[in-house]
Amino acid sequence: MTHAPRRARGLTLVELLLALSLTALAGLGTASMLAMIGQSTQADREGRSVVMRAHAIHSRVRAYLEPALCVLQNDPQRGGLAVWLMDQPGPGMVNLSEIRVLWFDAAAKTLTVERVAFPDAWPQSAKDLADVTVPAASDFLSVMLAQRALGYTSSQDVAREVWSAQWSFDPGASGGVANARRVLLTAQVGINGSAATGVLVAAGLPNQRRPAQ
Amino acid sequence: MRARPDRTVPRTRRAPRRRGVALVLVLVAFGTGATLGSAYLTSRSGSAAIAANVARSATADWTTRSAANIGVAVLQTSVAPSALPTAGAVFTGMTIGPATVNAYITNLQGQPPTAADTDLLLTTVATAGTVKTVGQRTVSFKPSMSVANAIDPEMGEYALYANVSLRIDANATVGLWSGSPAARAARAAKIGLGFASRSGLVIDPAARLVSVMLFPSAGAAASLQTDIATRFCGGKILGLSPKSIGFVVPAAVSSAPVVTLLDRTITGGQATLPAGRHSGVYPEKGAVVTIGAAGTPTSYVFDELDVSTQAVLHVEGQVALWVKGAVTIRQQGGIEMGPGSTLTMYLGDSLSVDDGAIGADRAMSRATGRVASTLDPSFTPSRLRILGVQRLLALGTPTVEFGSGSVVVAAIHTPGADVDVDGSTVVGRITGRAVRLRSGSALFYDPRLDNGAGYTALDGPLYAAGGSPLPSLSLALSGFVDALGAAALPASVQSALRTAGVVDALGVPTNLGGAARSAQRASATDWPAAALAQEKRNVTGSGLTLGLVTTPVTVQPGDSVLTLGAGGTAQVQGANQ
Repeated sequence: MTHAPRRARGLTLVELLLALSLTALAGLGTASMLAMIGQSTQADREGRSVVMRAHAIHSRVRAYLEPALCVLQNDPQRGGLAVWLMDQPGPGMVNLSEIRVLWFDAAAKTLTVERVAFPDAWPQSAKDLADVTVPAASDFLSVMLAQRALGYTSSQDVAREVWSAQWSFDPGASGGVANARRVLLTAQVGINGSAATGVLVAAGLPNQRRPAQ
Repeated sequence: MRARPDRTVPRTRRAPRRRGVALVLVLVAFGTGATLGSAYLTSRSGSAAIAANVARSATADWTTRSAANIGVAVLQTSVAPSALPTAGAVFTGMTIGPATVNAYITNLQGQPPTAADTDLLLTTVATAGTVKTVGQRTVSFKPSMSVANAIDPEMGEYALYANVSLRIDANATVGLWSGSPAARAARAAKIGLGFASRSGLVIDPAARLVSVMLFPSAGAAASLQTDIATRFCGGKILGLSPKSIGFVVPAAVSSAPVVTLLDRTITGGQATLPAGRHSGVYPEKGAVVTIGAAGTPTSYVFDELDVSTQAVLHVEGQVALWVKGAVTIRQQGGIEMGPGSTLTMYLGDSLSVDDGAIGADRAMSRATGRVASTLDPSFTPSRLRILGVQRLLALGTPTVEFGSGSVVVAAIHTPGADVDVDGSTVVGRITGRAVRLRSGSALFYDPRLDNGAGYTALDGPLYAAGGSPLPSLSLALSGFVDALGAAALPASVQSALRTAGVVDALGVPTNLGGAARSAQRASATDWPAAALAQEKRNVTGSGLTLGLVTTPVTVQPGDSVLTLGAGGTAQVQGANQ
């Protein structure tokens, strides 16, 4: 006995549409899940970057502020904060080598630190003689710029992608920033060139004292 | 032609094909999901670990500061840094909160401190989990020093001390000697004035004073206070008048046995002079004349000394030399210090160094163009002490003259002599009657000559709280009989103060004595080691630069904030590096 060949039965249009719809839904769900995981991972990465960057800024800025003896000058217009980092030669007086200027460059979005660095080829005695005392009433930012013009400074990045930076001081610092014992940096730090995240750095100056002259 | 299949023959049923596509798809989906999930979870756990490390870093940071505070407090007690049970270790393995801390105290060269070290470096290392931080503070340490030890009869705390007048011409320089490690310890070159009149001080506006303080004596003209404020980096008119007097030659030297009564001229070649009394000694024409013997203190007496034409007086061991007459070094002659040797020269008359060098080596004295900055740091001014001898006024005023590009590495205390430095360099210090630094001259002071507790240390043992001199101190100083010589001054003053009940049996003022803690004993300032590390400067104690020390501190690579690299360089790790 022979069987009649089964006749192949095709999909109905409804079945096809249903299958396509289910496939689309499943694909959409998968894509959504992948996107969500991707976004979450990206957010984590950015969060880590923020933490690391904030920690780096914290460490680097505090490294200059906490041992500092005095905030010498703050000029938001020029984006410079001058501090008296240490007191080596000429105790009680500010010498060139003891000054650090934290510059915020809004165009380059960088926070840098600049110091006077005489040429290595100079003998130490020549460096000592050039390391003159700077009167306390000086425009320390201009002093640093003058040394820069002579080629006697060295700069290093504190942080990049800094969109804004603002220095503020403890309210008890009457008589100018030179009396400040607490310094606060409020900065906006960019992440991958996109939205900025706020970073706060607070530092105390336990060794605070004003230069003698 | 292809045959048609026979449709009458029943066809065999074709086996159904096994299709595993769905299974593969499921496995791929599971794999993708697992990968994404693990990446996500790893990311989450990494964030937590990073946050934890930041927290540990903060913990280690404040623990380092706490340990530094404790270390300073320890130094403010009667603990002597030079007598710690483990050299250089204030404490180790102390637990503060969740961290373990060690504190080390060293001198500025990174070595365990000696009793003579007063500028110290306190290094604290805190470990919190896997994070380690290092903090440093410079400590100005004032041991429970007696009055007798605080008074330096050679007045080493002053770079320049003038009894009658002081003149510093244009283009003359006074500053710190950069070859001294203590030059980086917030020290100054101090100028002291033994006269009261403002007219006695003449400093040309073009004179170069770098890190110089002025300390006039009690009773000085008030206008000198204006000079302090305008020309110097600090100072004060003292509440007492330091005693600046000459020495009496010790009996062990003055009684040296006679070797010869004949003058001796040594022309070329080499010679060794036996210890004892000689007449005139005149090395010349490249002669090398040795005095002293390594490892043995010896005493010599010369009637006169003249070293000329590239000759050298070479010193070995610890030598005391009394030259009763003039000392002349000229024409590239020199006094050369052998390895580890010291020379205490009692100067009975005048001293002249013209186109020569003393206190260094023959390479310096024989050089045609001497450059003091090339001086080997092993030639320290404390190795050649030149002490003026008390003498009768009737004998006139002796002179001390350095000229024609001479280099002098010595601590010179000749309070009765007029000192004239002309176009020459002095590394060390000078006490003189009338002192003049002419154009082209330089005086570079070694702060290690300052014991940190003398007349200018207003928080030292010679002063009561508030900065006024100890009661009866001025009286004891003024009442001292000069003829006894400067060496007798400290003991005499201490005895007088003890009689007056100002100091205890050991001669220590009550504010610094005993075992109670005193803030006066040690004061500390944060050292910006982390900032210097960020600037990638070699902050190892190299003798010239103060900073992180590698011994006895051990810091492992991989610290989260601060690491030490090859050669002791310090580096900071961060997101941008």
